[in-house]
Amino acid sequence: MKILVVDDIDKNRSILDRYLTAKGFDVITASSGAESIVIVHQEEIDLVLMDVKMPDMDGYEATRQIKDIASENYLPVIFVTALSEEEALEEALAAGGDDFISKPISFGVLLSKINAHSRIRELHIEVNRKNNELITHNIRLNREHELVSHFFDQAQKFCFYDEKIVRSFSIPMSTFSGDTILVVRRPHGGLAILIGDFTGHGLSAAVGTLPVSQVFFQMVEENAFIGDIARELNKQVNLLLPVEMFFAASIIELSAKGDRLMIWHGGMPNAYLLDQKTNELTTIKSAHLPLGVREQEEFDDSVQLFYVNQHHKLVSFTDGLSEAENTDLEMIEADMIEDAIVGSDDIIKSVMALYQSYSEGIAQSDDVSIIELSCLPLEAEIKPANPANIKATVPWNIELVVNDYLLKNDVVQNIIELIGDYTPLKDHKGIIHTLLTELYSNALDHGILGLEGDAKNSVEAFDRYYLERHKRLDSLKDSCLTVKLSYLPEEQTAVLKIIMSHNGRSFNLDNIKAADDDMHGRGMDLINAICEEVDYSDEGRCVSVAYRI
Amino acid sequence: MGISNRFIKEAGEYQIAVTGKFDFSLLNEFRDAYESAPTDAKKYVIDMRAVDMIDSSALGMLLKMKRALNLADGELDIINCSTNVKKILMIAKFELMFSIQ
Repeated sequence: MKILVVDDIDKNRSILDRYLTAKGFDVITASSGAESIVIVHQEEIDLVLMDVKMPDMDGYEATRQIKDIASENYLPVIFVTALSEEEALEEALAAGGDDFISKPISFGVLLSKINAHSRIRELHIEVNRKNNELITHNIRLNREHELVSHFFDQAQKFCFYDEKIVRSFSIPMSTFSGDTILVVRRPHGGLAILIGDFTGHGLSAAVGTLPVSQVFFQMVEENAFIGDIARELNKQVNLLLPVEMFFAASIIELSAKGDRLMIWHGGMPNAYLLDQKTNELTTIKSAHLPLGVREQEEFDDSVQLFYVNQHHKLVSFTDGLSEAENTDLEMIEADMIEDAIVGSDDIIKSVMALYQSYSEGIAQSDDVSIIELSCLPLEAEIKPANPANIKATVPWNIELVVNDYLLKNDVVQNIIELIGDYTPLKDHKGIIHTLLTELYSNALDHGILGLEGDAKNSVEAFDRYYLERHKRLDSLKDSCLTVKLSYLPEEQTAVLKIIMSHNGRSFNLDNIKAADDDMHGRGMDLINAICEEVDYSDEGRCVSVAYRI
Repeated sequence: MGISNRFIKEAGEYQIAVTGKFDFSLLNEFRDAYESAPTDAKKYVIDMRAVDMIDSSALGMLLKMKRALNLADGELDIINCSTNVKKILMIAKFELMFSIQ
């Protein structure tokens, strides 16, 4: 520990110097106020013993300047004075001094004062260090927050935006919101929407939105039913989040025509369906607990269904809105929200205006989100046709030869897996699948297996047909079916040629057509309608068709 | 893969959802689904959202269902059809007998 002794009288300095050095302190001396200031600038001083009366600059002024230099660091200054106690204390404190000791000096008292102040200084240094650590931490945290918030924005980016159809508004409580709003087009048209609220707010609540949005986007892409999406989200929330955390959510599906609205509504405030033509307001109550509460076995995936038209608007919001409080800590009433919805031409605006005026003077205590969906037909998504795609392709042939044993496999499925995801064919996958299925079942069932079409008319006949089919498949001998696929690109379009031939029974077109009831005959019509050319040869054992891409 | 059904009680709507390949192999399952419809069903809907492929026997099954339940033209809704499925239904002129979306 380094002590600075300031005194203009040599004798006084040397007494203190000797005593303190003997006690193991590091002692530096200064003979004037000005010198003491220079030393404080240069050295790491831990404590100052200051004489009061010195020529030029007295101890008080020197102390003021030393305290200035030390600024936030606590550098104790103890006055050594012959003045009477009271006035010395007053002046010393006013100058920024921390203590004083009267002359003649009692060394015992001096020592305990030095020790006491050195403890305070250490504490100060420790607090300062922690403080600096906190500041660094805070800077890092802020930077991380920025990064993570970017990450959250990206994760929810697939959202569909069309102000005519969906509008939403959110006021998060902090950088991160525990509320989620996702809106996405469904593959066959229509919209899927998720609005939800995780327990709590801030980063811990927002973390849940990541897995939830990923599952939601993926399942919508896979054409899942919203009840099944709810079930899967329930599973994920249960799996990933702590028990006390759950997710109140509304999963909404609007059909492409805008005429059917389905909603799985769990743990959320009432949602509303407003018919703007009649101003009739339908209340949609939560039919379920929030996601993440129920075990999978007891989960209820049932949904509510509404037949809607272009006059209908659905409004759903999180409990940050429905549980808003005023200065008397009274919660907002449902009637007030309903009044704000009915008759308004801008529902979000009027509901939010109500919220703002109701909760005025109250600090926000939860995230607030609201969504408004207009039940309008959605225009089909325009997928860019890409003729350049076809231009860049080369023709190919694939030939599959299927014999007895292999005929038991799902041959059509094999072919579809082979070519269905080939880029130029991708958009036609379903049609090509239908076409191959029709061609194949004609060739296998009627040709190779020699089954009669009329077996498919009743339950018993169906079972009989299937048994017979199995039996014949098992006892096949020397059967062979060949499928030849040719892809032929042209300027803007391409043709897929399929030639299917077999060595089974000859095929009589008229017989099949004669059996034209619900179950058959239609297949032939489908093939003819789908394809440009259909030719039979080898007494119907070989069929050749051309499908234009 | 296969058939699932759900009854939305408040709306009285009975939905049959088909997944994967809608073909001959689903014949019995599909018939079971419409025959076991609750008696208070007011509306029947076939949800095709997860259908990859539909063949001619499925067309037959749909016609059979319409006849078995004695539904007038347009009373049976076939919803959430992909472009490809819709194309097949149109080729078969099903839009005259069903409400197709």
